[in-house]
Amino acid sequence: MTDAQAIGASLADPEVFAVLFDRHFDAIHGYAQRRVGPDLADEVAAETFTRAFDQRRRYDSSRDDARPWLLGIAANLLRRHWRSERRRLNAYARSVGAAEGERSGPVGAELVAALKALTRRQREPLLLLAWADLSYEQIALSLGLPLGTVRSRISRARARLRGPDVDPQKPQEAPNNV
Amino acid sequence: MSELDLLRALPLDIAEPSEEARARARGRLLRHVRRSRLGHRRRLLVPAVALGAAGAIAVLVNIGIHGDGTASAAPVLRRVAKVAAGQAAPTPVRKGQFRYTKSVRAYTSGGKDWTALGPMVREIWLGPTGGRLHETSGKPEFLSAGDRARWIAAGRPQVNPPEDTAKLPPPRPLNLPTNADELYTELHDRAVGHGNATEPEMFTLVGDALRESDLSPALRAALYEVAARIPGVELVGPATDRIGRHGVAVAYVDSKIHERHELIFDPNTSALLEEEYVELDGNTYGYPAGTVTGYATYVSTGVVNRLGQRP
Repeated sequence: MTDAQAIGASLADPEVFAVLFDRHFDAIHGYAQRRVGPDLADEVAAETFTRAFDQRRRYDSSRDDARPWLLGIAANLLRRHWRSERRRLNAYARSVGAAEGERSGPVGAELVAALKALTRRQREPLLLLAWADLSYEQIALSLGLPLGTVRSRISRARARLRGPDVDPQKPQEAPNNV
Repeated sequence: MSELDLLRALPLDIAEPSEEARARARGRLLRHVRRSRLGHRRRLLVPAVALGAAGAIAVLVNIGIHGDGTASAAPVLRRVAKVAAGQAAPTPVRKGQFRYTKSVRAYTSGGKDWTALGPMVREIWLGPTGGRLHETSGKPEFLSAGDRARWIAAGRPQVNPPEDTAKLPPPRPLNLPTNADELYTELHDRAVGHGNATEPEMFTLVGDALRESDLSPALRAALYEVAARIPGVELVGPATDRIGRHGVAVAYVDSKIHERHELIFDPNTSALLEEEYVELDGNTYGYPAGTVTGYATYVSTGVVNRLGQRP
């Protein structure tokens, strides 16, 4: 049974929806954990599934895999927790800095700093790509954005992580100094 | 290493969710699903054939009530089991026909800072090859004036879709034994490991099955007998449902989540009339004690000859 079939069946037999939980809870929890830490992840992941259940009628049944849809719901819920997310990024920055010490320079710490500096609109699709392993198309689906928008946001975000001067969307401001 | 690989390689000590967190989340989902399932398909009232149980209410209220009001429901349930066993089998639904049921149900939905019960009138036509569901949304019932105010402040978002229609697949057979001992074991096995405590889960399973009026009299009787055996099922006493019908209520209090699940049934027909979830002091949602977080009233049922037809 595909996710889409399980969701369809759950309209008549709601308990079938538990299949979605059993298949995807760990993935949703893992993603939320990366974003806001383990304690809030428990809450966000749990809430994701009750929300998803309420919204299941709106599920696009041509999509067999429900993970992008669930991640989109989780992403929505995570927006409430931006303070925790910032705290967690600060903690990453510290741990990355400490781990690298004198060895390899502050690449990781800079990366985290750049990640913090991204706007939510840029960070969200980027993290779905990096931490949830979604394709561009799945990200578009999960955030309800056109594919082109997702591509351009991610490419801007990646450029900003690489360095301030290499935004491929603005070639006039970005000399080829990669 | 690309910036994407660097991101992926961040030292995030990600652990699997704990068994406890997973079980808690699953239980929460299933409780939520339960509320949505109130009034769900195949929840049909038994045709109102009263057989040999005249005056049962009068008898019921005098059975086994102790001073603290938490009497065992067992004697009442056993009596209803007898009523159920003596009833005629429900009218079979032939090919091309549908069993129609109408119920009104509500469960909580809400936004960030408001909660309301969204009542839906739910009509279902179900036949051997599938059927149709039609729901129309009623006026939201806010848990408090504050919830209503915050809902208005949030721009009056829709609580439930105003109308909904869906095609339904054929009903799945229940596959339950009619022998009470076997049924008890079966429901116990199904109740274990759901993320909820076993006894309240069993009580819920009995409730679920009782909504199916196309069950044989033997199975209905066995279900009431099983309910009588579940430890902790309490007699609430005479009760009136939301459309004014009189019956008797039994309940299970889930002391882990501080919630009472109440069933009202007609002791003369053994039909389930209504059910309700009530939050108690210390409930997981932090609602005031006595808050109703879900209900379903089973209004009518009958066999019809085409989709969309009402009896």
